[in-house]
Amino acid sequence: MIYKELYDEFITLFPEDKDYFRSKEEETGAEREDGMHVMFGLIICPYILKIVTEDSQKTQKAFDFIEKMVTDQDSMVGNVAEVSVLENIMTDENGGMKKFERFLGKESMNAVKHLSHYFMIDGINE
Amino acid sequence: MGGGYHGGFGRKTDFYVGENGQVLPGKYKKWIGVSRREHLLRSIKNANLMKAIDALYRPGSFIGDGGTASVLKFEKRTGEHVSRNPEGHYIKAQEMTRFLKNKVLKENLSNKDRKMANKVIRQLQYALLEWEDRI
Repeated sequence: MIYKELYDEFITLFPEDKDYFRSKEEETGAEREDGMHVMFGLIICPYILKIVTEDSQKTQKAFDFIEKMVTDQDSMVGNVAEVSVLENIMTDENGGMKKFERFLGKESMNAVKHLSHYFMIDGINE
Repeated sequence: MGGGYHGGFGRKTDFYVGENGQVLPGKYKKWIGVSRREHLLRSIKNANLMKAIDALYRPGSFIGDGGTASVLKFEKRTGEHVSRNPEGHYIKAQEMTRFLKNKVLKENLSNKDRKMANKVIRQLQYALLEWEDRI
């Protein structure tokens, strides 16, 4: 996976929601040049938090992509998934891990378990 | 931080257990602080500044003031890594600092929001410099 293309690669998976992504880009002013932590933290995470209550197929597709990122050979790619997606969703105040656990791939769950040592959160079993 | 406890009964404390049952080595106890997340989010009005603060100060974070800058300092000074890759929070801090400076500060912010944004930027920049061994 190519670091600079992660955002576009992700949103391409959800062509039906391109208006959502465009409106979030306008609302936040975030652009690809700002970096993938910004794009995933400010746009993709809120999107995942939205779809998890609406559509389990879409949510699974999103987390399959996140798993692909976590296992990518480029550590910059995995960093975005761990620090700006998994850390954000596991600490989400409206349910966190309880809502997401069933969608996580093996390596994503390992990343969450590592991160969880440094956050006061419930619902993660070693 | 409430909820955690340490080994007592006169024995040397060597671990700290959080509410979630996760264990942090006791030697890092001084890093356990009070999160500024709620205070910051209550104090500011600008929507994008709030989003940036939300990304930088995650709920449940107890390292230092709960922000990414504290995580960077913790990682640098202890050699521990909050994310599995050592550079995870470093890259995030770099990108979020740029976003705050190039986007958020260019918005029509109230004096209070501007002051708060500048403070967060300074903390991140300081932590980044320390990370890079430049101070």
